[in-house]
Amino acid sequence: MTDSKYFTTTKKGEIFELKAELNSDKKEKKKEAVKKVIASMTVGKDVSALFPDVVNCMQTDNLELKKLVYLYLMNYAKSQPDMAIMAVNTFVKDCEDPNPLIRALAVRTMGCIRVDKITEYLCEPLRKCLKDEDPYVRKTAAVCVAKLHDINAQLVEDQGFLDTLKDLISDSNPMVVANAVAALSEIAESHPNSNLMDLNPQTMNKLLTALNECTEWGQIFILDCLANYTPRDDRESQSICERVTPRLSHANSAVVLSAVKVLMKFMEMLPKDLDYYGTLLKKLAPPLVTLLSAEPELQYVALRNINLIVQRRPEILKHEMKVFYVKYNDPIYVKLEKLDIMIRLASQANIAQVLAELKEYATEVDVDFVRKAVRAIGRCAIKVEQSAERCVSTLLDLIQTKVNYVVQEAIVVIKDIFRKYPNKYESVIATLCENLDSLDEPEARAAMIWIVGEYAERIDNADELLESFLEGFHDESTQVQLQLLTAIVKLFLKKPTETQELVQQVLSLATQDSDNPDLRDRGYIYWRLLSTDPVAAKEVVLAEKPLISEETDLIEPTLLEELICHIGTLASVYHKPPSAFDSDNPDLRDRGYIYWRLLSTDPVAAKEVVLAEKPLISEETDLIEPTLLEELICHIGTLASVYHKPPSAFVEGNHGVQHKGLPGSAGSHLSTPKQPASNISTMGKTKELSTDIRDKIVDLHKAGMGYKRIGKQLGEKISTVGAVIRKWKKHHTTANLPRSGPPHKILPRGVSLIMRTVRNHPKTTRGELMNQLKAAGTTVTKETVAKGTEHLHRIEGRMDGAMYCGILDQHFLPSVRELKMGQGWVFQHNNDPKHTAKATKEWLKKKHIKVLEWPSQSPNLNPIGNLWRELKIRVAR
Amino acid sequence: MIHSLFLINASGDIFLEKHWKSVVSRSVCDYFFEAQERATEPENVPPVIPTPHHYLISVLRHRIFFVAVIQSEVPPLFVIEFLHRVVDTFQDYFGVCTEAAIKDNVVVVYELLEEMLDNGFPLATESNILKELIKPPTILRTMVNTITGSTNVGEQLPTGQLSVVPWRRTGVKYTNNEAYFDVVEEIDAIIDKSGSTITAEIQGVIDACVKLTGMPDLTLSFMNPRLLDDVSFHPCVRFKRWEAERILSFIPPDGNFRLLSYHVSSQNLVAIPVYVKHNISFREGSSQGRFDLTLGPKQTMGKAVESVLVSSQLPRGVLNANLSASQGTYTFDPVTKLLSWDVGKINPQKLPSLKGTMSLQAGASKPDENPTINIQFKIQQMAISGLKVNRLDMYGEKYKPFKGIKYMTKAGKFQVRT
Repeated sequence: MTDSKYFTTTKKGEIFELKAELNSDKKEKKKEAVKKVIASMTVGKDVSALFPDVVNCMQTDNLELKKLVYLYLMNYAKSQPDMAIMAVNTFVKDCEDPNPLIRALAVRTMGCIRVDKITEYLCEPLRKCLKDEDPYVRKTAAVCVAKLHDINAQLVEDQGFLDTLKDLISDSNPMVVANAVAALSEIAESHPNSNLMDLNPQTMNKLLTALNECTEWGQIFILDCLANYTPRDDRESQSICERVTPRLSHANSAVVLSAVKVLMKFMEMLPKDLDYYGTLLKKLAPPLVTLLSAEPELQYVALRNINLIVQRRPEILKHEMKVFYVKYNDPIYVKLEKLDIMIRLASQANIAQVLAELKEYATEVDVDFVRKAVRAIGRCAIKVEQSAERCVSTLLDLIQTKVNYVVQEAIVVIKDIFRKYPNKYESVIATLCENLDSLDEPEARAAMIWIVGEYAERIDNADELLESFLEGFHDESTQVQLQLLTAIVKLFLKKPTETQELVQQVLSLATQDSDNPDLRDRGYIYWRLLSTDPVAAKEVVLAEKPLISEETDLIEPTLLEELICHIGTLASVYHKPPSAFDSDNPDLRDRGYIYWRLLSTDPVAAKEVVLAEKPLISEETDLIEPTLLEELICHIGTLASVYHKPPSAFVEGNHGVQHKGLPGSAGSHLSTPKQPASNISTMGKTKELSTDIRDKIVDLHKAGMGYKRIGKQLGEKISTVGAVIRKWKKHHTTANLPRSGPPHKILPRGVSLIMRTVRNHPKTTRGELMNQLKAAGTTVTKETVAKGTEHLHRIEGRMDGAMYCGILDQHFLPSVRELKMGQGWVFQHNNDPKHTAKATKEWLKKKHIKVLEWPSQSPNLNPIGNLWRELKIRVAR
Repeated sequence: MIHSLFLINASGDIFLEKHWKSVVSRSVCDYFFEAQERATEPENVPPVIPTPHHYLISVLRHRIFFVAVIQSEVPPLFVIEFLHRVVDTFQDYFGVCTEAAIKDNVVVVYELLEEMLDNGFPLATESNILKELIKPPTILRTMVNTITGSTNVGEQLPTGQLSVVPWRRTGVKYTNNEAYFDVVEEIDAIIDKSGSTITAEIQGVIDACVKLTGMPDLTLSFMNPRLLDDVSFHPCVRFKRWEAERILSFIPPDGNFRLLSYHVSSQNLVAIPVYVKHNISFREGSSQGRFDLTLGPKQTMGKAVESVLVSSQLPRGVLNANLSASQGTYTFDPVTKLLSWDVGKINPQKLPSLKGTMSLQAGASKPDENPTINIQFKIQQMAISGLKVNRLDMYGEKYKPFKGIKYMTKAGKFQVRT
């Protein structure tokens, strides 16, 4: 007796059978047949062939049958527009039916048939229904205007339906008002600039009256609409707030959140000393707390919004910390949001409980959650200074658990704590060092190395520790390699006597054996710094130590002024977290140049400037920008609030779809295949065998097959098969082995020879070095010893185009000659005004120098740019 | 507004789709399936998923994902609330909300969905009104329909949809006039290792079943209304009178409805009705762990704690548990590591306990995490918050109704950390 029997229509013969049934004389049979058709439709089967037969069933006085036929029509009218016209007459007739239910149903269904030809006939019935005596019909008609607008916006405007809709806002029935508001908001969304929702105090009053009496969904539409209104004065905002407050007690959480949005917005206008303001603040907390006991999906949306609210007005929920405690069976997305809010609410008053909770979370099963909990402890330490000590001891407790990922995460956050409170918690270093061996994640290793380097003078065996890292230098990730290089240089500067060998080793590893340009460049600059001027090196590398305060005042006022003139946006960059630093950022590039100029002109002044700017980690780096936050507060409860993006981002997105997508094919835009980038690189070269095939070869070989049979089976050459198997026998892997690269001209021994000589006798010439090497058994040219760098020039004063030309003339061309670069090179520099000055351009043209065309604002293409970037990050830290 | 709805079962098949505007291709669900794959548990699928042109908002109920497709800015809570309403309506109509039930009644489901939403705007979501528009399927009605050829769609415009009391239809008649109220409280709590309460809060509801003739006007008053921190009402409750006098005054809908839900937060002292003594420990180097658990009642005002069910997710390293229960039965699933113990009623004279050993993987190190114990229980005839209904009066009708009130306390998310 159930509907599942309808699902049996699958074979082609069934369609014919259905056709016969649909045309049967018996009502009962007809209805059964229509039901079968609908059932097939719901599961996505194509029953459009039956269109004329189903439409024929439309003229009936049986309401259920009528409804079913309407359902069918809505689905298939698009594919059979000519047939759909046949139904128009019945629709028009039904719109005049004495039964309001049928009138409403007819106008509703007509609006859903997205066929242009039908919309022409829709206008008259719709106009009548909008003025129908029955409110049920009016409210259905109001929605129908929105449907029609979606199909043909021009028609709606021409026919004056928008004005009729606006009039409905003053309707006597609250349900009609609510639907009119909903329809208008939807239409307004596709006309961002039109003044459809013209809100004045009179309409506001009507909306507020309707708000109390309409359905829950209507309340949401009206509240969302209210939020767009700007009250004239604080009296008006107070009265609106008073009338909206009862909505906080609604059972529907969407109504509650929309009400919170309206209240948060209008509160802005209330004077803070008003009694009512305090009352309102108190009233906001309980409904927000109640939202958290709802289903997890609701909780998630509520939490994302609460996250905004606590940033804007932390006082609302400051006593409600406990409701954000995590239950072990909360879904992970709820857990992570709760954790975030807990940190935002953490204060000196509640930090003890929060820490106890966080510690508890750190022993949970879910690894992601545990990691975030450990990070949260670090953030608490940075946020609440008084708690830092307790946080550190909590972290130490966690390290004692020896759970691998907990230890690693703890070390990463302890590094941050050191940066915020330097020279305060070094006593824990010993404990950290015990766990050195268990660190296998790059971030944790880098953090540990940073700590060792920073506090090298207090760690007796710092050199041993760092040396242990150095053993597997080439297997480390870049992050660790860079950190290790810096740490060893720091160590060397602090304990020069015992660590010469170590620093030499790391420099040679970084500069000669590495193919990572970042690492090489950094290695070179340290090397040059150390070999030319160890004192300056100390000043630059160890500049991170904060011994500042009064010294800041010593900066020459004119220099300071110039700095500020040059970088107008320094302040904004300043507030950003270090992680946001990026070489694509022109502000940063400028800043880098200034540092560079500073360093090359007057290292002492540079030190002062740089030290003065040392940014401590800001308390909450992931705070939302104030303006965005304000905008989001006005959109609480919306999609935008869940993603913490400006709402405009959403409007734009769907705009395109609305205009681009043909109705019925919107889904087809979903996956635009990406154009394959280019396949030129694979031309003329045999494609490398996929690891899959290589593995297969090895498997077949293991199974005892010969080379020939394997080759035949997989369609590969016998020699290839042989090569793969030989490699597997030798290296036990099928993966690509590291490539060897060109042989080193100078053996490591030679390198240390050069280093030693240069360090002891900085004035050694290249010729002498060459001779020395020859004596040691290696014959090289002068250039090999020197190759790598061009001249470095120190600039005095401000540089302009003419000066730049001078530099190019005196240093650049000689460098080119000395490096024996010949003719096949291209000169590159960015679009700095002096580089693009007329004088410069002329000079370049005169000398026939090929210049790389540089798009404006493009990131630095020059590898040395990476070095400068590294330098400024180092210096800023 | 809501564009389309897809229903997806546990094995990832889309078994029903409904479009209120233009048709959105099924392929949008691929984004959902991707998210589902990333989340290890079905519960962890994020409720809001962005795709290039749409947003997918989903809820998981009865192992079915209800995925709504959104194309423009819509409050996500609006969508989630609506989806919950869909689930409730299905449950109301078919008794259960399962794939089989939905498939069995697919035409009714379609009629319902069409009636609940028009062009993405909610049309009729009140169960009273829906039932007038579309009669719920019952065996009797199906038989009558087949014989008489009548339909299960109402012919008349439901009266309630337009009257001043949209939730109540006119002309209701009963021979026995009765009004029952159930005060049900759920207690959510986190108890720490040492037995002290970290958080405790109470979610309470008053569900009503009112079968009264005509247009009765009821008032319900409490002995201690100040207890309630935050209240949400059925639309029928007059908010002004609650604000002024703390009295619930309302014209009730016909039949079952939720009059009120409330929240008593941790700021007030919340009594914890059970205590747990536990000792779950592992020793370093030993392949055995000790498990010792005793339950007891406290602060229950002499009422019995019933239907007690203890469950705990034991650490992954646990191979098996060899326990003995002083009462009830326990099961341990070695695959999911879920230990559950069906205790039944707690006898205060002879406290139930579960003792024994857990065997660990040989040579494995001591598990890092401490299992949390989840407890479910019921206490009849008591509202743990102490809330008491004072009296119920009826105005506007002449007959004397039969009135009844019941209290019950249940455990919500009641967790004990070890």
